[in-house]
Amino acid sequence: MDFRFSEEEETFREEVRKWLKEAIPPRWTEIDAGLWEETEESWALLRQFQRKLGQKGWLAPAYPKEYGGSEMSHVKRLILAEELYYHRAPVGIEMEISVNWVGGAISLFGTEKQKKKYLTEVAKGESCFCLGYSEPNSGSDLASIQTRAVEDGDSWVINGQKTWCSFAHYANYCWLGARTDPNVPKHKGISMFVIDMKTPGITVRPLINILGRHSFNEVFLDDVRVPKDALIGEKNNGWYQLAMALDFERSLIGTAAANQRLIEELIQYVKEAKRSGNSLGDDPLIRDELAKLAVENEVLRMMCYRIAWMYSKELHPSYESSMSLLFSSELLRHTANVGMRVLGHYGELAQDSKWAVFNARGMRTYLNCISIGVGGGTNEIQRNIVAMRGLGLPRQQ
Amino acid sequence: MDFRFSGQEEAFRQEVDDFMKRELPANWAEESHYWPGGYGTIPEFEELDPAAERFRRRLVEKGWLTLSWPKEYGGAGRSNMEQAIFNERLSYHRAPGPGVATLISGPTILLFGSDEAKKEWLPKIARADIRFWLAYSEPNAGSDLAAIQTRAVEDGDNLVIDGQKTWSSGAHVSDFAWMLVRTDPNAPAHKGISLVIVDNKSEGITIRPLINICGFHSFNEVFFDNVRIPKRNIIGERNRGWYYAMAALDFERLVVPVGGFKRTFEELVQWAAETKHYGEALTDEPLIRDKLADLAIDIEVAYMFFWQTAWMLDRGLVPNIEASVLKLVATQLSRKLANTAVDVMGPYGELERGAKWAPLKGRMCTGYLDCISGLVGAGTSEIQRSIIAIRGLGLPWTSS
Repeated sequence: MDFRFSEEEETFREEVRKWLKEAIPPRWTEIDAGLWEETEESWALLRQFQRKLGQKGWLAPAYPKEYGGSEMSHVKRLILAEELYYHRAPVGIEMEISVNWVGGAISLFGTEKQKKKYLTEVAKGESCFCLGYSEPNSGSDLASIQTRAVEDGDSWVINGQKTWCSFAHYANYCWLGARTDPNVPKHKGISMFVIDMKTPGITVRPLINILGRHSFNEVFLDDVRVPKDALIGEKNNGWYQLAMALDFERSLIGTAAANQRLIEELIQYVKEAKRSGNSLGDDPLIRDELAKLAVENEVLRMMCYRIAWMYSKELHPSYESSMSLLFSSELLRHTANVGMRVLGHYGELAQDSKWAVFNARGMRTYLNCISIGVGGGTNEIQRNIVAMRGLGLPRQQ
Repeated sequence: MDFRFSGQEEAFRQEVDDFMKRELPANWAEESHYWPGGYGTIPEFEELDPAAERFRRRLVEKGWLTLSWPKEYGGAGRSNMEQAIFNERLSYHRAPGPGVATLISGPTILLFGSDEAKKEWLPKIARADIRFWLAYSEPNAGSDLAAIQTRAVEDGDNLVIDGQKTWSSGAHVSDFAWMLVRTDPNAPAHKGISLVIVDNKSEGITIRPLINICGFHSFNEVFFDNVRIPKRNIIGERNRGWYYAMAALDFERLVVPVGGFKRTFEELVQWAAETKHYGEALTDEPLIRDKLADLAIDIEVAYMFFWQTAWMLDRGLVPNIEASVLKLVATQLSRKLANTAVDVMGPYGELERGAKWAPLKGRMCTGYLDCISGLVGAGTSEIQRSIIAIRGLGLPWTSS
């Protein structure tokens, strides 16, 4: 057991930090668009930055070189993720979706031709995926999806509706689950597809979120005709492939670093802010709360490291990812709640207010943290997975 | 709406308070093992204290042991609010007195018993001549109480009982079992149960101690082998016992020692005010003040629910969801009080009664152990929440 990074890894961290100083556009920092707050401008900056990352082989660092990756070790990948998230570089869930969740699944189940095409496009920052999972009547019970895909000559014809599709209005592909056999048990009749979002018959409608931003969408599919090779992996094997993609989704390794930044900002704030002549940082109740957050974040960091370590040993994190996603979502909510209490009324002010504190991050985190305990499987679903796969408890009826 | 007591109620409260101070030994409250919301350390389970017995006799003389019962059955015919005022003061002084018979069995017999049963049992209970224990749980029936397997079979004028009960608090120092038995094994689980009273002296009863977490003998397991009881000991109708038990459980859930919480909390606050840490009183410590203020709020909440149930009873309403809410709030408070206390006391909180340095005679240490029992007995916290969900919020029964 060794909790240190090697000298070479530390040097790499320095290299990343130095590069980020130059590479993060000042305009990005100025806009400060966080999770679920994209605008056309921020999205353009994201894409631009990610193409730059791609040129260095850092956008999909773990991919094989032939697909545009740099075959980077998983520990270095962890370091890279930590620095990107800590420094709030123009990367976010949209990158995780394309590179790690969908890319991860395609590299396991795709044909050589599919891998070459999609992984390379993703690694270069040219393509971006949205997820076609949830439907109006299928969320936690994802296997009940009703969107149908029917074979017709050389094509698949898809009909149905997806919802909660983040970034669907920007993405050029959708990674979509559809029912290909309605006559078998629900888990055994699902297949996975890659759909070009420009295909006729796709309608994307905005769902405005709690931050007042357009990030979610509902997506309607009416007689959407896609080629045979839009199918990824085996027909009717989709549930298994989807479950793997969801494990990747839960394997976020940069969350502790992102949260570290928030906690540090809170600490900075309480050191500077005065109440009745005393520094907030002298208030024992506030010190207590911040120390609790610090302890929890250290735990989360260990969970992130474990996942990176498992990948480095070619182990597939399963319940470990659920534990870490669950813990990080609760910690983000905890951080946001502590933040709002520490900031008092100032925490309730929006970004454009003169008196807003550190760009209204507190309030914005308070609003965006809710979705984290829902997407990728709710916290309850994660606990079920931990109970079943981790503790060996029986499935519920 | 009026949150004050009436003049009469105020006067009664004062009278009760004076009585307690006069009749209880001076150091009674300080020496008592009693922890509010727990029942693993009820002193009478260990040995019958002569002072406690004397006090109970005085209560009987005043008619206060069964204050709200009708006079014809040995009560004082007072209101349930006065009963609540009395119970609050009693628990504040950690005074002995009421038990299963007066608080649970008696009120249930008043509701569902035949005239014969009322005449037979109520006066004896009111005079504190007999004690009851609750024979509900079995090795395979706890939260799913309707699954009880102990059988009672008719034989002439008798019932013959075979089976086992467990977690039987005080069975070893009581006179009668207040007991659920299966009288129809062919009916659905809830519809084949009867409520009976069984004399502890009957042949075929074996009582074995289960020593609890506090090192006390409070629990027992009790075995019944061919125990014969007269049929007239069935309370109410045969096979309707489940429904009577639900009412009895509601009565049990109303037995909440709000005064005991208040007393123990006051002692904790005083201890913290008098204890110095690096030259400053613990009560100057903001983290401790915060925790104490939180407890004060919870105690106020428990009081509100407590008075509300008494108010309901006086209007002929049956506190049902309210009984579950009160029980849940009070037992959670019991646990929080103990946890906060040992937290505030540091290592001293871990010292037991008898240790030289144990603050407050080790009460908080005992409470930390005893508070667990309250969260389980009379329906676990989860069961209370289920009741609130089903009966209070109208949510469907869960099928599992």
